[in-house]
Amino acid sequence: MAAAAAAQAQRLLLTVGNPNVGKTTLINALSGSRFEVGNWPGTTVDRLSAHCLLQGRSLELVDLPGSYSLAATTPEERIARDELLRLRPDVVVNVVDAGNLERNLYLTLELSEMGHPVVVALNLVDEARTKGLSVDAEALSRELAMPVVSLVASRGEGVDSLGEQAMSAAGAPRSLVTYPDAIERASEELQRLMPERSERRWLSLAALAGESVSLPGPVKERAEALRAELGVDPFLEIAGQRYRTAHDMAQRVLERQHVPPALTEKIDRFLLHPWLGLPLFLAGMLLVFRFTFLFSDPWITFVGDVQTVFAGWIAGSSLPAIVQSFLSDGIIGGVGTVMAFAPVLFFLYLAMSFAEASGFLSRAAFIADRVMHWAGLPGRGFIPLMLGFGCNVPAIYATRTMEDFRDRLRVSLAIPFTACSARLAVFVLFASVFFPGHSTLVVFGLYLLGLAIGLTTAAVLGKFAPAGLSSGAMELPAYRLPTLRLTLRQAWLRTFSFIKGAGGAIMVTVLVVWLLLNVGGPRPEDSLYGQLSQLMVPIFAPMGVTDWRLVGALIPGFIAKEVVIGTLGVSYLGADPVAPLTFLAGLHQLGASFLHACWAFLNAVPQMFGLPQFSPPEPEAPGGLAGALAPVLHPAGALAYLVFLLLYTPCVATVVALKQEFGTRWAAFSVVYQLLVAYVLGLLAYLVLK
Amino acid sequence: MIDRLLPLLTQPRTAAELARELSTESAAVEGLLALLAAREYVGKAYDSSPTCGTGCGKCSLQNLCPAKGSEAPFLPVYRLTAKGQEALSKSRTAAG
Repeated sequence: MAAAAAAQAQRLLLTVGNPNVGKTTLINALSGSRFEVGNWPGTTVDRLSAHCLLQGRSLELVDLPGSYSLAATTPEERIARDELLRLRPDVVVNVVDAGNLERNLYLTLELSEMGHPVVVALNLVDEARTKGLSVDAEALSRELAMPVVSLVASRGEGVDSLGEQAMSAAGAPRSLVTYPDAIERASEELQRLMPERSERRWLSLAALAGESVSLPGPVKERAEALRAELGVDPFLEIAGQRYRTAHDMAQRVLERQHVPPALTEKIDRFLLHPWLGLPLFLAGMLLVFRFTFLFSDPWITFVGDVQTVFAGWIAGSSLPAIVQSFLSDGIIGGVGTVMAFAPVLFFLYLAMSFAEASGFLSRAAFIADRVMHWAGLPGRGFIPLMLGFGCNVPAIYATRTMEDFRDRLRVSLAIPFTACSARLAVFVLFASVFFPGHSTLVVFGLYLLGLAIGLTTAAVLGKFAPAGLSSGAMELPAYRLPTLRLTLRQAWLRTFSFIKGAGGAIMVTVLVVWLLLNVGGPRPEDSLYGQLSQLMVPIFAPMGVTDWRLVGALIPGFIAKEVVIGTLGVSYLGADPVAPLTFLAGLHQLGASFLHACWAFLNAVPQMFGLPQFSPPEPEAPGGLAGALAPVLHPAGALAYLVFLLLYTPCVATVVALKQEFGTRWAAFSVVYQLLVAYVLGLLAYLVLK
Repeated sequence: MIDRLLPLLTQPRTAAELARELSTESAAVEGLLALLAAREYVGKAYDSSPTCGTGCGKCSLQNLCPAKGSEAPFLPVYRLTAKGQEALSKSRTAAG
């Protein structure tokens, strides 16, 4: 008898809320149970229940799966809706994420139409505060006409107060959304046809919106007829009105704090100055390149020494000559040469990550916005262009958010002119060999040239097919000092991604080149690859490039720009005999080289600030590929080669991206147009410098 | 909200862009888009780019990037479906 009385007195509490708002944590805090808690949406995919005593009364707590609405578009939402309709709880605790109030309130508004007593648990207020958001709980309570309790469930803060509210809550909440008259009238008509129950208003609206809800046949039929009579789409009217109400409520109770630090304002006074901004930005980018060169140089030398040692070990082995050639010339000479440039990419990405996370790059975008307008392009087109400096392929996909097809096309045709990181390895090699003392400026100039040609292309195309300018407000973040861990991690991930992504293509290309070099004749120039490359030499001779190996490297460069270095490595170094090394001698060489690299790396720190010197000291005697290139090219020819390499045909992945986005015709146009521009400007560079 | 959202979706837009244009939270727009997508008023304008947004981290360009605010690292771009366009023209007709 006593047990029956206790059971009768038991109160049923349901927790409902969006996914990942802390419902399960709250249940655990209230009841002392140990349900599994996760920091991802959908931890609760079925209803979970627990029993406890709260304020001397027995309470059954039921945790429903995370739902954004009761429209039952997902299995979780269907469970939540069905349980709410079936269980008829004494109280519903609606757990709301204070940091995502507007989205969460949609469900709260629906719950108010269900007719059960609701208590709002405003959770995660601490996280909201870190986002600069503060919710006025009292004002929200007045707006909703429901008790609202602020809490941090994970720390148990506010949980007792919520328990009290949950035990005393009673009475149906008032419906908070007012729909257009026609919808209200239709809803009332349907409610009159339904048996008496608290959820009638919600059910009538669900029926009008076309949701699949369990209703008597006549009600369903009348709902269908009313839907047809309304003349508007009832689903859109109902959902739209709920969202509008949620938005308006959130605006009234939310306080956003955004006070830019004083330091940010002071720095921006200079960096965003109409006249000083651009020179400061250019100086900043120059520093990025200087940093890259200075700090990567010792490690490039070290990786080169590792290659030499490996090649020496292979030469000292008893492997057959053809296998030695394959390993030394194909694998070590090709892939190894590309790997030697991983330090360049790592330090470039390190500098760029710092510039990004510190807030410098977003200022750069702000300044560049003016340049974009000069080219007749919307400011938002600058982001894809910036991405192009990393890799052209995602940059082309990123133009998708631009409204106008012509704007997208123009930016996409400009992107392949921006120097992607794959081209940097070649720039670094040639600049350090042929322009000692000015290598940073040469590489920097190439980056600017690519951007200028891209923008000019867009501007010229805009004359033929102008599009309306659209603009978006730019929000500039406060400056912050990025953590070393984050910066290193980003740089590492990007470098690794480059190596991983390029690895396959490089392997295949280098092996094909090695094979072609070993087919057709005993000397490299007699090989199939040599003959094919020599056929093309007359085309490049006017720009001072007469060595067939340089011309030949441009062919696989179409597959991926990063394989140019690998190809040059195979064709220049492959034929040179390598001195055999014993294992110990090799280890000794490696140790000495590593110590030398560490010392040179430390020396780079004071050099970094040794203005006005803008280039690292040149190696005393360039060895390896650098040494092999020096005698075959005049600096004018080297510049022409670099300009051609910067501007010629985009890599095959970029062409595929262009084809996907704009069709075969525009992809073909890009290939032909870039070839022509590259040839003309390469020739011009040679004639000017010669 | 929906009455302002639908006309914007006649052109491809990301959730973050829509949120900016509607002066609201990205999460709220994503919720609305999910609701509309489930009812087939809205669909993806393109498949997500597998390479976009993979290294966002704490990138300061996020404040300019159209993908900012997306929970997913990719760049889903939404647009009205035929059903959505029909609903839009219906509501325009009803509004006179």
